[in-house]
Amino acid sequence: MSSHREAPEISKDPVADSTDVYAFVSPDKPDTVTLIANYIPLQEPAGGPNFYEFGDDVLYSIHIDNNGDGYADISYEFRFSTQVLDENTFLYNTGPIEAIDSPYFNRRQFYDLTVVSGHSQHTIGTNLACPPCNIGPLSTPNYSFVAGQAIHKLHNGITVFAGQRAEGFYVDLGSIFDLGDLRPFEALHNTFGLPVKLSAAPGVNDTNDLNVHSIAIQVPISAVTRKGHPSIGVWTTASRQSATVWDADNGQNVSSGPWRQVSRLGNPLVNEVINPLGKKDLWNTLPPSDDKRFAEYVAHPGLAALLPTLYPGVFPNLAALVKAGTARADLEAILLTGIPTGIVPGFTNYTGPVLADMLRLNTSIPPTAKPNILGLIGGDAAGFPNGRRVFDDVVTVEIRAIAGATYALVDKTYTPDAAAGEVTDGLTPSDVSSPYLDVFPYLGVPYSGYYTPDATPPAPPAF
Amino acid sequence: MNSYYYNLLESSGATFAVGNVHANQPWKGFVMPSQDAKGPSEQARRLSRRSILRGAATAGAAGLAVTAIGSAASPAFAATAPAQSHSAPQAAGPIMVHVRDAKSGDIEVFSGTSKTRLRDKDLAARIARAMG
Repeated sequence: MSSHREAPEISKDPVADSTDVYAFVSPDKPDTVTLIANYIPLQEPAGGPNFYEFGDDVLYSIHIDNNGDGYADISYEFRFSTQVLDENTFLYNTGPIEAIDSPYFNRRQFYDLTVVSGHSQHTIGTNLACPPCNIGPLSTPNYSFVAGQAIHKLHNGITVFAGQRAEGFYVDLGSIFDLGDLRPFEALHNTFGLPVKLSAAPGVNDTNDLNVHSIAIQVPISAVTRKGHPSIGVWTTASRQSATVWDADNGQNVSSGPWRQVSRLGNPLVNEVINPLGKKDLWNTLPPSDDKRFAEYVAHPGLAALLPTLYPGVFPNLAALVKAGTARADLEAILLTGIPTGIVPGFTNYTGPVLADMLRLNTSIPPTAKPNILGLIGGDAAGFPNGRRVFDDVVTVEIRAIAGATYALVDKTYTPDAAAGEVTDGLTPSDVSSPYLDVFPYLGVPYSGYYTPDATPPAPPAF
Repeated sequence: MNSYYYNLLESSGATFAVGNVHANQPWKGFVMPSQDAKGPSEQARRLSRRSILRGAATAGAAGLAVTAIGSAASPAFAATAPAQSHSAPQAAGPIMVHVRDAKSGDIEVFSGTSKTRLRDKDLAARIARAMG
């Protein structure tokens, strides 16, 4: 997955587990950027009676580095609080929630938004309401309307939303973590001597029909960039207080002490499949400025060494590259510095020499009228790895890059294997049942508990 | 635009501002901790050995996490704590004490969004005895 349950420790703490980060110039408001951080992975929509919610004891942040040093210059910090109207019922809602301030919305969340820049902090929104989870036609009969009421327009051109959305990241988890057995290429996969016959098959979107919790903020580009430096680095973190004690008398955790980072996410899949198992938990506690310590795993990714074994004879040029111990300067540029001028004609999102895993976005590149889900390698400079749009096929892009498709950008003598330009898990945005929106917050309407996993729900009952 | 992206079944609906929204209001009074507070805050600096003992003595209000303690048994900790001074500053929320190493007196104290680290063999020994 992009970063769902990607490290041993954070996989035990889903409320603080970041799953995806998106950063893109807003297609409908191109003088703004939209930043989205998703948390709480793999939500089964019918997961009542205690539906999913943000952690009141978690500090969620979206960070921006606009001078290339790997440290946050601007952070948007979100703190949530939960309110229960009637504690003498087991119900999340005591009737239909037809508006965000419905008295039937029994367990609700609010949040404060603080902007931290240098030593200054400004709280720019307090008691901002979250929408309910999408429960079903009787509990949340007009979900989109209620969710729309949770889009808050603040001053200074900032718009913000925090709440449940449909998972927009599509991936064939079942095949990828079955020893990289990508279904469209199964016929080429190593069977390890097992008595199985593998044949090509379409990909399966394992995250379809699941929800996440999104923190989305849309801000003017001028508010997050320095003059003459349009490229920014974006990442999210979740932090918990250092000390926690289970207060058995009250049946709850009690926390104290300074906030300490427990989850981090910039580029998709870095902590998932680049960093080794023994370093993932450590990586989650550190800022991007420390990523020099992990650069060797980007320069010599384990997956690149595995592919020739998993697909015998399919990646001979990649195998030679790995055998020669060649450092992958292409991956370092894509993931750790941004792509310098001169690599891809007319394009750069380079932020400087500091090796830091950040999602880099050149905000001077306008949205594409006809997006290509393969982003930059598909000739669309407005897409990943120039930021990341909600529909970008980051799995295919990164598999192809690791397979050597992008190494020729930095070494003109290298010929990528033919398979490097074809390999994929076989999915597209059409495999996401809840369509993306063309307006903020861009991720689709969350799947309803009542109608899911039925892929073809009947029409809602008439009222 | 690609049809899969802009083929909308539902829009996000109307936009309302719910709650108290304000812009550029200077941070005041409201404690919003920083992402990575490294140094002890004023509140932490006020945490003295005496205040820790008082916090531990009022265990109903103060969390007390003790690890790596010695084996010495002793009378109840609360019974040996000094009386609380009415003029002493009070920390908001729970105070948690982590005795990292009772032998060397290495103690961490957590309060609010701050942490302070003490080296106090006598205090560590008293806590250890209290846990007897």
